[in-house]
Amino acid sequence: MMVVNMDIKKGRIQSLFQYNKSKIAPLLGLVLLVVFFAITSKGKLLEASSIENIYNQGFPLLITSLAFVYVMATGNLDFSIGANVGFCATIACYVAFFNTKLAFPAALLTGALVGLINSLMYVFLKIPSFIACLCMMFILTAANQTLTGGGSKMVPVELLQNDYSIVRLVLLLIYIIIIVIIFHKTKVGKQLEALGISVEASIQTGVNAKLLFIVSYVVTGVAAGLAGYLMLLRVGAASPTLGSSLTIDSIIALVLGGMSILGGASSSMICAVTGSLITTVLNSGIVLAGMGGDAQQLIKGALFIIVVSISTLRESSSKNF
Amino acid sequence: MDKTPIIEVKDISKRFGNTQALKKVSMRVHSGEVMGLIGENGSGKSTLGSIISGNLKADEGSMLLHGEKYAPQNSFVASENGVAMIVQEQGTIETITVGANIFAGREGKFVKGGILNRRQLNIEALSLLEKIGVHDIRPEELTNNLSFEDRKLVEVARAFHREPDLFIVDETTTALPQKGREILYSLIKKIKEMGKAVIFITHDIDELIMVCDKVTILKDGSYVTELQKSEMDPSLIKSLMVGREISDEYYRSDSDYDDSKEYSPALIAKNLSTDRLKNVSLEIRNGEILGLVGLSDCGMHELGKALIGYYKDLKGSVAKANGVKITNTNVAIKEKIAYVSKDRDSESLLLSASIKNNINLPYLDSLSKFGFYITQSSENKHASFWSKKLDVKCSHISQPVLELSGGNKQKVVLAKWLGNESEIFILDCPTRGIDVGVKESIYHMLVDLKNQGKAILMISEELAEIIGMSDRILTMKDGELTHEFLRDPDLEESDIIKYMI
Amino acid sequence: MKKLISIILIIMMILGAVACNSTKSNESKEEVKETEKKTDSDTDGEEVKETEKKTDSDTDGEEVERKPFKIGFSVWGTSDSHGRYVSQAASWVEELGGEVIVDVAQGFTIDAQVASIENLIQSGADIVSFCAYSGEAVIPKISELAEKNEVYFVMWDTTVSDPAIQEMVDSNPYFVGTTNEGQFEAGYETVEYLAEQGATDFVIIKYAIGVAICDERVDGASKAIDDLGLNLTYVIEVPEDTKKAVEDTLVNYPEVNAVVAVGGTAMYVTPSIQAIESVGRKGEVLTSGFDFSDTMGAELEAGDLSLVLGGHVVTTHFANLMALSAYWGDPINPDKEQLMIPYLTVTSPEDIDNFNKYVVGDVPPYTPEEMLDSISSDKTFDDFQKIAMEYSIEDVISRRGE
Repeated sequence: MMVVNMDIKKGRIQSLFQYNKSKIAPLLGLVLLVVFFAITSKGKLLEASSIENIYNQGFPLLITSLAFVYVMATGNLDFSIGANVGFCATIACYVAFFNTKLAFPAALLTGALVGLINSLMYVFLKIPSFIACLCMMFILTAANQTLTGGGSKMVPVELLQNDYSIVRLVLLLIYIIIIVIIFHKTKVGKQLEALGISVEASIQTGVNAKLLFIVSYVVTGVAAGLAGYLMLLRVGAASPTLGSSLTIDSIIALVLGGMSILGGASSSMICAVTGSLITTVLNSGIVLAGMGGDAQQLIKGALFIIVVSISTLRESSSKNF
Repeated sequence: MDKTPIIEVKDISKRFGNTQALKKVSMRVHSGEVMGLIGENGSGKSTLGSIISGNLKADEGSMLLHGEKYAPQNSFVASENGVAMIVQEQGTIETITVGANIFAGREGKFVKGGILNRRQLNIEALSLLEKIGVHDIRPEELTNNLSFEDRKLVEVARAFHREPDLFIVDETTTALPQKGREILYSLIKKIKEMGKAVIFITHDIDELIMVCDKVTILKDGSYVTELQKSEMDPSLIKSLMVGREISDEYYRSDSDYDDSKEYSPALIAKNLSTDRLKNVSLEIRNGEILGLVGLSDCGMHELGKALIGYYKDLKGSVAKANGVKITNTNVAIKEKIAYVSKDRDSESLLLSASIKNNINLPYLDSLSKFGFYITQSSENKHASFWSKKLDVKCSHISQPVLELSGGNKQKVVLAKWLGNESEIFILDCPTRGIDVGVKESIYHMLVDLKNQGKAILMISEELAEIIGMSDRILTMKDGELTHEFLRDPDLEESDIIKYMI
Repeated sequence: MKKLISIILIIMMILGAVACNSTKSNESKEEVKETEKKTDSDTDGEEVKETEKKTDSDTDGEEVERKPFKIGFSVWGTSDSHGRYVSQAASWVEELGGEVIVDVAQGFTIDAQVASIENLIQSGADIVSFCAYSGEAVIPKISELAEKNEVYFVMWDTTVSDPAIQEMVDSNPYFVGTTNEGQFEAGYETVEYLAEQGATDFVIIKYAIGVAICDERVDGASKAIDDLGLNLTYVIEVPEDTKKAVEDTLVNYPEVNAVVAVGGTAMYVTPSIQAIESVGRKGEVLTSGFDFSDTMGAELEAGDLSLVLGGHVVTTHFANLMALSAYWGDPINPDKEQLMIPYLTVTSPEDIDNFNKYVVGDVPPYTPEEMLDSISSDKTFDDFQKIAMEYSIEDVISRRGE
C-alpha cells in the first residue's frame, strides 16, 4: 500500500515538474544569481538593509509585471504602461498640492482610464493593440513633459516628511493578494489564458473576449496608477521620465520568469515575481559586489545571458530547433 | 526481385513523457508498394510516420533507406533524401502564397542574381497543380484564404513536386472531400507505377483495403501483424486493431423512426440567412438525433455555427424552447448548448492548455465558491471525473491537449460539454479523423444522450453515419434545406445523395 | 551538449572580461606610479625633496586622523566621453588612500538615480557623489537617504535653485555643498564668441527632457542673442535624427549661419556638421557644442566646428575634495556654498591635445600633495575657490613645470 502511494506521489511530482519546467528553471537562475552575489559581496547581499533596498527598488517592477501578466496572457502587450506610471505620478503630484488624500485615488483613476482607452481603441476601433498602446505612450510622455514643465516637480513637503513605508507595504500586499487570486483562482484569469491560446476556441466556449480584453488593459492601467503613486512617495518628485523603463523591464521580467511573449498556457504570476527579482537583484547585487564602471555593464550583460540560458533550460517549442 | 526495400524500419521505440508511443516496431516497404499503416488512436501510427519523415527522433532502433543508414535530423533532411510526408493537421505556411508554399525551401531554382522570379514560380506551380488534377486554386492566392481542404491539396502538390521515393500520407483523406480524395488516390497510383513507395496512414478500413497492397497493424505502440492484400478483411482488421471483436452495434441497434414518442422542441431556428445560408428553418428536438448532411460547401457547417449565435450579421432568429434568444455564443453556452466544431484543433480546443483547463473552461462559474473563488481541488475533481468518464487516455490531467491523439482530443471536447451539463448538442463532424474504437464509443454515447432526452444535431459528410444514427435526416444544398427523411431501415445512400447534388 | 558548450563559452567570456578589466586597471595604476617616479627623477632633485619634506612635516600630525574612505559615484553612463571623463576624475582621489566605486544608473530616470544612490550606500560608501541630472526634485529624497545612513553627499554640475530644497539640504549635517560652472555665462560666452566670428542668425539644439543645466545654457545663449541684437531663428528640441532636423531647418531658414548645441557634442554637433555639408553650406555655418567629444579635434581642424566648452570634469574632482574634508572632520566649505569652476574652452586642435595630455592623461592634473594642500586646515573656502578658479589647461601645464 505504502509503495503504491509512493509511486503515485512520485508520479505527481514528476508531472508537476514536467508541466512546470518553464517556471522552475527561472527560479533556479534566481537562486544561482543570489548565491553568486552573496559570495561576491561577502554576504552583504543578504543583510537586512540590502533586502530592504531590493524591496524598495523592485516593487514598481513587481507591480507592473504582475499586471502585465494579464495582458501578455492574452497575447497582447501594453507598451504604454511605463509612460502611464509617470503620468499617474505627475497627476497624483498635482492633486496632492490640492489635497494629499485625493492623490492616491486620482492616480488609480487616471491609470484605469488610460487602460480603458487603450482597450477601447483595440476592441472597438480594431486598432492593433500594439499600435494603440504605442500611440498612447507617445501621448502620455508628451503630456507628462508638459505638466512637469520638462523638469521635475517636487511633491508637497508634508508628503515628503511622512514615512509611508507601512502604507506602501499594506497597499502592496493587498494588491498582490487581489491580483494573484483573480488570475489564478477566478474565471477571469483562466479565460484570459484561454484567449491567449486561441481566441476562436475561447469564443466558441463562451468566453466574452471583448470584455476580457478590456479588463486586462484596465488592470495594467490600475497597476500603473498604484506604481506611479508609490514611486512618487518614494522618490519625492514627479518627472517626465519616471517609470519609463518599466515597460521593457516588465516584458523582460516575464520572459525571464518563464512566460511566453505569446501568452497562453505558460502564463503565471510566479513568472512576474521571479523575473522582477532577477532584474532587481542583478542591478543591486552588482554594486554591492563592488563591480563598477565599464566592467559593470559588461558583467551585467554576461550574467544576464547566463541567467537567461538557465531560465530557458526547457523544451523548445519546435522539435527541430 | 527487388531485394532492398526502399525503407526498412528496425525496432523503433519512442517515449513521450510517461507514454510509450512506440515499442520496437519494425516494417519494410518495397518499391512499387503501397503500405497501409492502421491502428487505433494513440497506437503510434502517426508517430512512426513522423519518425520516418524526420519530424520526430526515435529513442531507439534504426532505419535503412535504400539499404543505407538513415537518421534524418529534421523534415528538410528527410525530403532531401526523398522522403515526403503530408500530415494530419495543418502543414502549410498560412501567410504566404500557394505558389510559395509549394516551392517552400526550394525557391533556389527560381532565383537569378539574388532575385526571386515570382512569375516563373507561379507558372510552374500552376502547371503542377493542373498536373495533379487541381484546377481551382490559383498560385498567387494567399494560403490562409483557402479552405482547409484546399490547403491539404496544396500540401499534396508540394510533396508530389519533390517526386519523393517514399511518400507518407498521414490521415490526409479525412480532411479532403470526395474529389480531393480521388486526386490523392490517383497520385498514389502514379507514384506506385513510377516504382516508388507509399506509406498510407489511415483509420478508414474501406479506404485502406482499396488503396493498399499490404497493411501493418499497430496496437498500443506495438506491431501486431502484417497482412497481404488477399488477407485483408474489414472485420479481421478491426478486431486486430482493437484487440477484440467489434460488436455489430457499431451504429444504433433500432432501425425505425419511433413515432410513438413525443418529441418536444429544444431549439427552434427560423429563417436563418447569411451569405452562405438561404432562409433556413429547423427544429432540434429533445430525445432525437437530427442528422444534417450535404456536400462540404453546402452551408451546413455555417448552419451549425449560426445556431449558437456565432454570426453577428445573421438574419432570422434562433431561440431555445424556453424562449431565450440565442444572440451570441455566450448566451448559447449559458443556455447549455454545446457546439463541437469540425475544425477541432483550432476552434474547439485550446491545444497548448491542459486537459483540465479545456474541460473546465465553460463550467468555471459553477466551480466557483462565493461566486468567484475557484479551488484547485474543485477544478481537479471536475476535470478528472469527466476525463475518466470518457476514458481519455492521458498521463495526467495537466497534460497539454496537443500531446493527445485525435480521438482523445475529441473525447476532451465532449467531456467539456458533458461536464457543462449541456442539453442541446450541435456536433459538426464529431467523428472526423477518429478511428473505429473511439468512433464506436462516441456513437454509444450519442445514443445514451438521446435516451436521456437530450437534443442532438449531428452534421456530417459521411452518409453511412448519418443513416445509421439519425432519427430524422435533413439534406442541404447550396445553403438551403432540400428534404427531410425519417429513420427507415430501407433508406439508401443514393436516396439521400439525390437531394445533396 | 551544445547547451553546455555555449554556457562554458559565456563563462569564459565573463572571466576573460573580468580578468582583462582588472589587469587593465592594475596596469594603468602601475603606469601612473611609474610615470610619477619618472617625473620625480626627471625634475630637479633638490626642489622635489624640499617640497616633499615640506608636505611631510605639514601633514604629519593630520595623517593619523585621516580615515580611509569609500566614495560612491552615480553616473549616467561611461560610453560617452563626458561620462568617461567623470569616472576618470572620480578615481583621482584614490591616491589619497581610499576606495572608489562608480555605479552606472540604469537610464536617465529619477527612480534609477535614487536606486543607484541606495545601492552605493548599501555597498559601504562613506560619501556619495553625483550630478542631479534628473532634476533637482530628486535631491530631497537623496538628502533624506544620506542623513538616515550617515553618509556625506556632494553634487557636482548641480545648482539648487528651489529655496525649499535649499533649506532642506542646508539643515542636513551630511550635505557638503555643490560645484558647478556658470552655465548661463557659458551659454552667453558661446554666442559672444560666435558673433565675433560673424554669426548673426542662430539655431539652438536643446534637450526636450528637462536637463536643468542645459536649460540654463539656453537661457544664457538667448540672453546674449538678445543683448547683441542678433536673431534666434529656431530652437530644435531633442531631435531623434539630428542630421535630418538640421537639414530641414537650414532649408527652411537659409539665413541661419550658426548652430549651437547646448549639450552632447558628439550626439548633436557632429550630425549638424554633416547636415551643413549635405545642404552644400560647408564653411558658411558656424557650429559650437558643450562637452568634449572624440571627433572634435578633426572637426576643429577642418574649420567645421568653432568652439567647444567642456572639460568640466574637475567639478567632480573639487566636489570630492570638499566631501573628503567634511568626512575628515575639517570641512573646507562649512557654509555649504556653491563652488564655481571655470569652463575650459577649446577652439583649436592644440587645445585638445593639451587637454588630453594634462587633464585626462595618465597623471591626474593635481598631485596628491596638491589635493591635500588645497583642503588643509589653514585654507579657507575663499582660498579653495581661488584654486578652483585658477584651473585651466595652462594652469596644469605650469604646475607640471613644463
